[in-house]
Amino acid sequence: MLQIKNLHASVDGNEILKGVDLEIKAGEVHAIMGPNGSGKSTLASVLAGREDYDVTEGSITFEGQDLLELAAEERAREGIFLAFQYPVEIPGVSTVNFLKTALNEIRKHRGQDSIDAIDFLQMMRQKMSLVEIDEKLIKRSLNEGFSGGEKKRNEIFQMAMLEPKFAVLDETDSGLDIDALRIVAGGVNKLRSLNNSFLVITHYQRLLEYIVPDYVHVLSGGKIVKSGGKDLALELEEKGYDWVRTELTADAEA
Amino acid sequence: MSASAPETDLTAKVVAAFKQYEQTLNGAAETPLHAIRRSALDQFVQLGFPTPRNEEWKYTNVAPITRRDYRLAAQPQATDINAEFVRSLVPAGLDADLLVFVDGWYKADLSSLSAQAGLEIHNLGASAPHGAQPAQQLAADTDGFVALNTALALDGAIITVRAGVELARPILLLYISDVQAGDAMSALRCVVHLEANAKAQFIELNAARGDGHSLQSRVAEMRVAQGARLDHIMLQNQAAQNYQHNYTRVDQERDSLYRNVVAALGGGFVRNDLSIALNGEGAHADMFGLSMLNDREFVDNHTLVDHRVPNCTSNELYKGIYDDRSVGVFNGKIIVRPDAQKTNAFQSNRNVLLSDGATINTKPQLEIFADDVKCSHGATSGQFDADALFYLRSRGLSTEAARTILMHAFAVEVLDQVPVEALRLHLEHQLSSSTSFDV
Ligand SMILES: Nc1ncnc2c1ncn2[C@@H]1O[C@H](COP(=O)(O)OP(=O)(O)OP(=O)(O)O)[C@@H](O)[C@H]1O
Ligand SMILES: [Mg+2]
Repeated sequence: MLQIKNLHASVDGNEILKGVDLEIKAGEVHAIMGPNGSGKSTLASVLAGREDYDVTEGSITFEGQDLLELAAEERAREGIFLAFQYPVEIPGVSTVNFLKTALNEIRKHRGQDSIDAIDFLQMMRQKMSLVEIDEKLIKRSLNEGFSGGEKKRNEIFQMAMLEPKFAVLDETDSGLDIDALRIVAGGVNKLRSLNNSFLVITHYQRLLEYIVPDYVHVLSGGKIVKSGGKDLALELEEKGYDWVRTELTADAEA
Repeated sequence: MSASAPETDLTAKVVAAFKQYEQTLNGAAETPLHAIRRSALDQFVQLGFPTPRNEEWKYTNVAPITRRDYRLAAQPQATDINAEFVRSLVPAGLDADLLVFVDGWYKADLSSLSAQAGLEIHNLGASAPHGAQPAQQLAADTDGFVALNTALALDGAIITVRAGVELARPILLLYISDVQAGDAMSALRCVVHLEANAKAQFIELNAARGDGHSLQSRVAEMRVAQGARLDHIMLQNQAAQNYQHNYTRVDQERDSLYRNVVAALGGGFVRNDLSIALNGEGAHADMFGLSMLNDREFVDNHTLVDHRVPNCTSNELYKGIYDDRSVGVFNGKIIVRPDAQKTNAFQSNRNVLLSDGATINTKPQLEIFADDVKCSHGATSGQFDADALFYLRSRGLSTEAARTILMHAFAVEVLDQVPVEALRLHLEHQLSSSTSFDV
């Protein structure tokens, strides 16, 4: 579904990603862990199409097409979704406000008719209960005055509404209380299928107990330095990133 | 010889029109009203049109709009503007008493009044009742434009709402310039008096018929007596060749409420002066403005709030979105007199510049002579938040749609202040139809 090859990306002339290779097949869940500042959110932004990042080398292919050729909105319509680490606040715009337009843009792209008001409402109800989000919240100004957890829940609600093929969750678990974590993870698991994939960025192994990944990668210094199965997360939690670093140096010296 | 010498001398034309008008008076030239007009004309000749050297006109160059060869009639002209055209201008769903003026002259046949109890309307031209004349003191604190209006506004509306009366329907004042056969200038005057505890809504809408240039001058004097409430909405959505100058003077008495909402969605030249005097304790004034401009449109909102007595509050929020090479001006002056303790005055001016060629000139002016007051002001200008734009695009919205949503979100804070539902919807519609996107 998604192939990232030798991806180099920089912002304001600073190279952040220094050759990322990653392949995600349909139906897979990949987790990315890594120290602060290692480039995880940068990777997420590049995938979503943020123009502030310059891709200087490498490629991203999504379902056979060159993703880097597409604008952010075109990627969304192709089925890419990013749950932001820091969702923006937009006064005067409610989630309901723009979500119908967003959904219809995506439907149009897929050759489907616009959703009618009643179906939209019904779909909203269903997805709202999936992530247990309060209707009041999605009718308020987007993220304005939302608690950290409410913002994250709103991201997952939007994901549920837009039904992406490939979703990147950037630290969706941070700021969530234990119940919310379970609910959000449950929401993700219900959306999981053989046809769609997830890239879950997290600092905590706990999320991965709920959303069990097929692969875990460690991103450090702009590169994926280690990959493994779900147990890698446990090992990381236990030993810390220094362990990966020493292991790497040892490898290099050997 | 100066390169910017006017192609036509509008000042001379104004004087000529006044002379022509005087000839029609047949001895009525001795009335006090005429004396006021005479001295206003002298004052206008002396002052001329304001120049950028005048601090209040620093960013507002009137030279281009005074250069045209306007028709300026000293008496009502025949017009074939009909009821159907008038209807096309009235916002859909608005149920209001309608007063129509064409080139500054009241048109009874195009107007429709429902004879609301406690509402008295006279047109200045025909039946100025004693005591309801353009005020003399206005000219002192203003400029050539106001003097011109006092001299040349031979018609207009004198409106009184009797004590305790709450009008069931708003009053819509429609100012139409007939510029089908060429450029035209017009002047009219409104004198509004809400007696104690009266409530009313006034809506003004400027329009033109035809492609010629129009220059409309409108001065309004409004008195809001004790406990009364006046909502005043100004709808300005004209084309590049339409110019207007509006001077609104409001006097508020104890516990009264005045709210002005100006929606300037288009026009080649718009200058709105709003001068509010808070004369009685407990009075509150609200001022809201939304400017949404493109091409080379120009809108200047000048406000002056004069806190003269203690315990009054004023609140102003002006927002603007400027595209292409459009220009906005906001000048907000707040005076707090030595006696006006416990004043609470709030002012905010927020602007979004959508293109490099667009300009906003904003200037708050606080003159505070009392110590126990709360005053705040703030002005911002910038682009739409890049993070917000990207967020919406990452959900599948085109840049255009995302911008429209943000524009709407920005504007809605002002639109929400419009107290007439039909108008609010009308404005929302104008807003969303400025792009193809439906919000
Ligand atoms: N505009 C910029 N100019 C210079 N450096 C930048 C800029 N934007 C981001 N960076 C740097 O890029 C690096 C990677 O940032 P990124 O947000 O991708 O890290 P992260 O792995 O998501 O970290 P965290 O775990 O804290 O979320 C950081 O060192 C950050 O300071
Ligand atoms: Mg991050």
